[in-house]
Amino acid sequence: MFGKLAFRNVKRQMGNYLIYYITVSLTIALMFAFNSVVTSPDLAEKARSFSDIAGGLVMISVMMALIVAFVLGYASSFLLKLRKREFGTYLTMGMTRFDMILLFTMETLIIGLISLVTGILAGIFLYQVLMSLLSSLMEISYSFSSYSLYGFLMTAGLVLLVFLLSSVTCALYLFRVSIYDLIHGSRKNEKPVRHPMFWFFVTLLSIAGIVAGAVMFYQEMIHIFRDMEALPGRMLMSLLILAVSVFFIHVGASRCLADLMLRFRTFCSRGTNTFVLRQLSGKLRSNSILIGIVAFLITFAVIGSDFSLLMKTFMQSSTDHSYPFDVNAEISASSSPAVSISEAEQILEKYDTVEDRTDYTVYTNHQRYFFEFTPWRGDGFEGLVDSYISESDFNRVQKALGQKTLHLEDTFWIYSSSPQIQSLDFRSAAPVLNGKTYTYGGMISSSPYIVRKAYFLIIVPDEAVKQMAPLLYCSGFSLKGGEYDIADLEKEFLYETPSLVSDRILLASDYEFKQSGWEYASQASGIFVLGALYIAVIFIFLAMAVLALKILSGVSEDKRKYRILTQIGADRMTASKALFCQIFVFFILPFVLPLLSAIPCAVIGQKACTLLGYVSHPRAAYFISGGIALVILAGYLLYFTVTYLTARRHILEY
Amino acid sequence: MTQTLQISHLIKYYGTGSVVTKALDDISFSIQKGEFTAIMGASGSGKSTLLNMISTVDRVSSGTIFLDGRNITEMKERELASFRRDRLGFIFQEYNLLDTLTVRENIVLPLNLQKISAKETDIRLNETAHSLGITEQLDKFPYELSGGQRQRAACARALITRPALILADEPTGALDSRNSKTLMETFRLMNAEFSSTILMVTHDAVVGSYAQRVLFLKDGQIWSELLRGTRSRQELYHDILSVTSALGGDADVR
Repeated sequence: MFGKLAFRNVKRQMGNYLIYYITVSLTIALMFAFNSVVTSPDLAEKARSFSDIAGGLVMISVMMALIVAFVLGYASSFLLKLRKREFGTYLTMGMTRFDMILLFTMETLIIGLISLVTGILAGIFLYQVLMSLLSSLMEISYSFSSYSLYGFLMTAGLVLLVFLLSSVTCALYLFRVSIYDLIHGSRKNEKPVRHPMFWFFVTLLSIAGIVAGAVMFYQEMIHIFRDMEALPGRMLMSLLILAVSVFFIHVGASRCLADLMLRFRTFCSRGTNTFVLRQLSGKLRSNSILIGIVAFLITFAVIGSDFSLLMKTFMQSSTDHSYPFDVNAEISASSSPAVSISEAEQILEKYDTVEDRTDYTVYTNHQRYFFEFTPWRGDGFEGLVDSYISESDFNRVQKALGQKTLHLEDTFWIYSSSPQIQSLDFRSAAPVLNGKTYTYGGMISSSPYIVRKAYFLIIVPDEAVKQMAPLLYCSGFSLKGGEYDIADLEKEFLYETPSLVSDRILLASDYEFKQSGWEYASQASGIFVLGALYIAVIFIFLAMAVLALKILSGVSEDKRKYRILTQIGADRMTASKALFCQIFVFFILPFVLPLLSAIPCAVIGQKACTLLGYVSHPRAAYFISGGIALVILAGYLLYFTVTYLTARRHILEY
Repeated sequence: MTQTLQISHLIKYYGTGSVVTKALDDISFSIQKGEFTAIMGASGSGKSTLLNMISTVDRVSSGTIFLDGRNITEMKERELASFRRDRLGFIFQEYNLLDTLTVRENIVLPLNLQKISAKETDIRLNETAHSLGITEQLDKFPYELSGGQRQRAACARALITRPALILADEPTGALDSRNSKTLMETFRLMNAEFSSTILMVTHDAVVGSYAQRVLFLKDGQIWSELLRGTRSRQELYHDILSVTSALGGDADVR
């Protein structure tokens, strides 16, 4: 009997359940697609770094399922409140609470099963889209990806967990609520906000907190880039200030905005302004904590997705920075190499055509004169010695890389890729080399790592290095770019060496390959982006669904109020406009600031880009932040439209 | 005297096909400006249907209703909304005050909808609140008031737009006898002081006796009519009881 009733109820309540159903289906589709990616055998085979990160992704998946369960439990209790009177009637007719819980659980189960089917069907398609996106992010070839049973079972398990938890939440409510509350509970008196000025002060304080937190973060970021000894403590503090401020600005604004506006009599005396403000005042006050949490989730989603995509751009840029040549050799002059540079060329020729080879030498006078100008001076850094490169070698490298050459005369220049070194002051240095004193000429910044085993290089005229000993023999190879297996090529250069910290034997190589670095950066950042976007999308879905369902759970009370409004003379258009304003403000309040956070994100990201010397993507941060903001805005507007139309249908059509 | 309401040959059917009910059957009457009229009758006699037709919340099947010289049965929906807003005032059994708004905000809301200036709104509010004795309650919320005070606030809201006709649907239905009496005194005051034209639907013979004229409905038709004339309220009350007992005795006596 209950089965039939549950089916009828679901059919009858389809309008009310629409947003819940859309949210659950999309969440399941995302879960299934993500879990399938995590357990994908094809990905594990294609991407070498994937297996290292897969465990973390499973953790993300489980954690997100728990959050989804909590939020959907909360959301389904709104649906329950929509039908309070109906459940009250069941109880007065003699139905037991157990029967009622059984009925509601069956209804939830029916919706859950329909959502599971549609979600998985959508997920099957979404998985291929996700794999194609991930392949593109990871720079690997995409082909139709096979589905894993484990991914399906994992999704089914997580969905079961979600429905169990949300059913328990609703069952607890139905078990405790009195019949009177079910029948009459919809008419409750919303009391006015107490101490609106206090909450206005909290809002102002939070605005100051956000500005201060953002400025502090920006300054600390620059500080950390420039000072190697800087601790991230202040940066974490700034993040904490930002998080707390984002939460409280929304709690404060929700509790004072409408009430403060009610003080403007001229504004309030226009049309339905007073009515809308009073409606909002009650709703925003009773949901202020929820609005704070939703705003925090959306901010987290916006910032997380912004920075993950920026990181991807940076990591790819850093490959060009870290590997100026296709193959980069750095061989210690103090020992005989496992593979000499000329042997290396022969090996490389077996795989690809070597188009160019640039040899250069790094020298040392075994002194630590220049290290005295750095934080690595004094005891504990005895192993560090000054590293020199001759003007002619340097200019040859620069020419090969298409960079500007130098004309030194009697000066020396500092060359470093590190922002920390670039912030040091070498102007008072006056080294005496080969009997001649050289003065500071300048610093070359935003430059690639032509030597990775030295913190910085001192570029000096050729005669200055004449009496120095070679430290490193370096070479950069430019290849034609043919097809070959990089893993096989890398193996040819590996040799065994004892570990400096244990008895183990390690595999080492004096040669580094741009393609390998690129692959690793693409794969690691691709997976990172996937995880961040997954969290962001789920957070935004949940935030929008909670807001939508919260609005819809109040329609019966709103319907009564709007009926009175029309009875005392508001025409349909006026009532529609009032309802639109009410829902729009409720929906948009926790959204504006998080969306605007894309602007400081872009500024900070762009600054980080400049500090790291990734000038090849001058406006990447702005494009990424703007793009993400637009995508989120589109999704948000869609949810708002569905919510508004559903609410209008319920409230104004009588 | 000028006519405020003129109803001619009003017919209303409900339902379709074989299940059709004739709720109003060729009703015709008129109400003069400043008249206080009560409509009484048994349940299902058509009182509420008649009120719904006059208040423009439902459409007639045939016949005409002229309110303030305009035929409201031919008006478009948008026109009706503004007509309802500007020319009609409503008082309901359940007060229908918005509980999120203060009494002051509830009363001035119709004026805000009419885009009346803040200055004019203040003048009208003070005048109406003072006359109905609710000045002290203006900054309270409806849930802080007694039933009688709420109904007076609802009267103030109906009165503030200076409507051509105030429609009251069982206004004492949720009140005890003391508050009912106070409300009827308020109606009398509205009628006397503001020259309001009032059309009230009620079951209660005592409440009906406050009117100057009582129309009795039966099976969708006007069955009888009583005019107070020079008689006292008590005399009219007894006459109402006689008519209702002849009708079938469906009247509350408090």
